[in-house]
Amino acid sequence: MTDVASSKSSGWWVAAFLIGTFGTGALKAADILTGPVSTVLFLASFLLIIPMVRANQRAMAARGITSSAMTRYSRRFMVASLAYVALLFASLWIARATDPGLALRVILAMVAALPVMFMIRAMALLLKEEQDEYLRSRLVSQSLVATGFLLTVATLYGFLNTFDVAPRVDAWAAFPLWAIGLGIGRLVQGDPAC
Amino acid sequence: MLNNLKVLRAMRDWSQQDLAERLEVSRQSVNAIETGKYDPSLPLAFRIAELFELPIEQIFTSPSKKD
Repeated sequence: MTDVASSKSSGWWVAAFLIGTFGTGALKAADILTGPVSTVLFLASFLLIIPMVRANQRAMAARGITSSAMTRYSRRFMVASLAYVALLFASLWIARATDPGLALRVILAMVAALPVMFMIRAMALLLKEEQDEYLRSRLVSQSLVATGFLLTVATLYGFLNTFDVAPRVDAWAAFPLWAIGLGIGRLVQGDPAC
Repeated sequence: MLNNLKVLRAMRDWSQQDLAERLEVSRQSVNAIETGKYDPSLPLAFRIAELFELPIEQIFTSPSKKD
């Protein structure tokens, strides 16, 4: 498959994933899809992560950006992402269906956070296992941009909170913010994978 | 850092992928080194020199001597 063809394929799977998850989510929120079928469809749409990750791997390979460490990272991250969706929804469902006490709420919070910790571990292992020094140096630079972005946004938002001009945000937002920063880092570097 | 990796590769009729496989790095790395976007570490520079059977300074130009 050529660079362009594999990029298009990857793009289509990203679009399918976003349409699948946000589409079923929106239909569920608007009560167009109801009952357990809507929940099953919503959760099933997250299975699109699998072809999306595989298409991205093919696109990276077509551009010469591939390594065994990157392949392991993709696999670990995909498993953690699917576990995150399953455990997050299970935790929220238990919290809503029961009236959990303090101990159970702590356990539910930890269960929901556990797959994210595995995602962070997958990133750390990628940096440790990547043997290609150029790819590793790019990852380090992107991580620094992401960290700078997160610290800047968190500091700014924290002071907006201090002066009561912005609503409080849960601390778990740090991880998706860092991931956005990683994307910005790739754009700043002119990453051909972008 | 300037280098004549592209010329040396062309003399052997190697593609970037061929060179990448011989050096056990990604094609993207070879491209970044060739275009001067990335300066290889000393161990990788030695590997490149050994592969082409040339001294490092015949492949890479010292930044202080580029003029």
